[in-house]
Amino acid sequence: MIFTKISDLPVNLVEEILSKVPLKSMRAVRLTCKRWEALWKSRSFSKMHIDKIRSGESLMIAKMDYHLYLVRIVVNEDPIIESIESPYSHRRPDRCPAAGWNWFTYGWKNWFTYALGYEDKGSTCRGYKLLSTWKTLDITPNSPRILPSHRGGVSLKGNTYWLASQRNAGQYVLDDHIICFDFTSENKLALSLSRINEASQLECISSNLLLEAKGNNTRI
Amino acid sequence: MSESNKKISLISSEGEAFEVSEAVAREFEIVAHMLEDGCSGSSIPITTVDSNILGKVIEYCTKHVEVGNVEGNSEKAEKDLEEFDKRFIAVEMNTLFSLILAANYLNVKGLLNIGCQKVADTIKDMKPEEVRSIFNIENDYTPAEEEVVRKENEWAFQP
Repeated sequence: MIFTKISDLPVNLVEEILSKVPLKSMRAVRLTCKRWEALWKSRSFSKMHIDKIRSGESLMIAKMDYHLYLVRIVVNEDPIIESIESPYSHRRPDRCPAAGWNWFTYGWKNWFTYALGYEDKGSTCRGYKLLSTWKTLDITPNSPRILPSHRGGVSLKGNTYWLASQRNAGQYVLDDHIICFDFTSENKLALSLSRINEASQLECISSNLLLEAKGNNTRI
Repeated sequence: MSESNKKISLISSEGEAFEVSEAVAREFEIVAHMLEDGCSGSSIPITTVDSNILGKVIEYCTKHVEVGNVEGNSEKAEKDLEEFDKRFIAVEMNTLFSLILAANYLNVKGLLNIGCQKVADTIKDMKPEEVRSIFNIENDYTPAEEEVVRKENEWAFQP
């Protein structure tokens, strides 16, 4: 009788198995052997792993060391952050996100005027999109003109959220709105926060937005 | 003879014939495609799967076809099926890998899925040494290389 070992399986089946291993156990997978470590680093594996999001895990886009990463975050137990895909890097101009957009021309220093998100196309692929300049964020003519704050947005489920204030709100500008840019529909959406005077910080916790306002934290 | 009663013989690598209903045979996507492509023969050779494993895959498909045929599928039936799946894959690792290989070849998606999940669940609470020993994997890291992987993303690992 022939005994089948895991090493007898074709690589796509090993990938299928390992992509079902939860994120917090990936350490053991990577340390098992070089073949599995190489698999873990492969792009096809990242894609499979990303698509198997479990409860308590969340996807966000984060900037670290001048690179952009798609990171998976687990918060329901010991917090774990794992970068699973590095879609764009300013050191890799060949992987520039948008046609005609030159990373070096516009420069990293202007980063805060751009937002990267992804279009949710189900499990097959993820289309990254780049939103440029605040101007495109102007809300429809009938609603108040809302401007995002310059403190940068947070990325959640592929979309970006900013604290925002009304244009011409006066000398003391209050960030009492939240703007969301939906990268799938390419629509903008403004949410008025009437309960608070001013929000100081917008954070992303698991699948929720956390609004920090004068010491009170609100989940939205 | 109505189509649902039609019997098809699946021949294992040892040449043993397993007679199944067409509905069960169609659970093997590879067989379903052959039938759709006009393969009218009543016996289909499954040359890469041995009798032991083929018998098991047929058992899995038969159960799933049976439950699928029940009118107004109840919650209980679904629970039963889950229990069946759980028992079905509670086998030794080498049998599990043979089942995964067969399910992949025959394209039985449900079985492939639960088989891979079972292996993943086995891995998830293990240390690297345990993973190596249960899956018969040689540690090809030098201590220095292992340290690099440990260091990389250290903050992402649990203490």
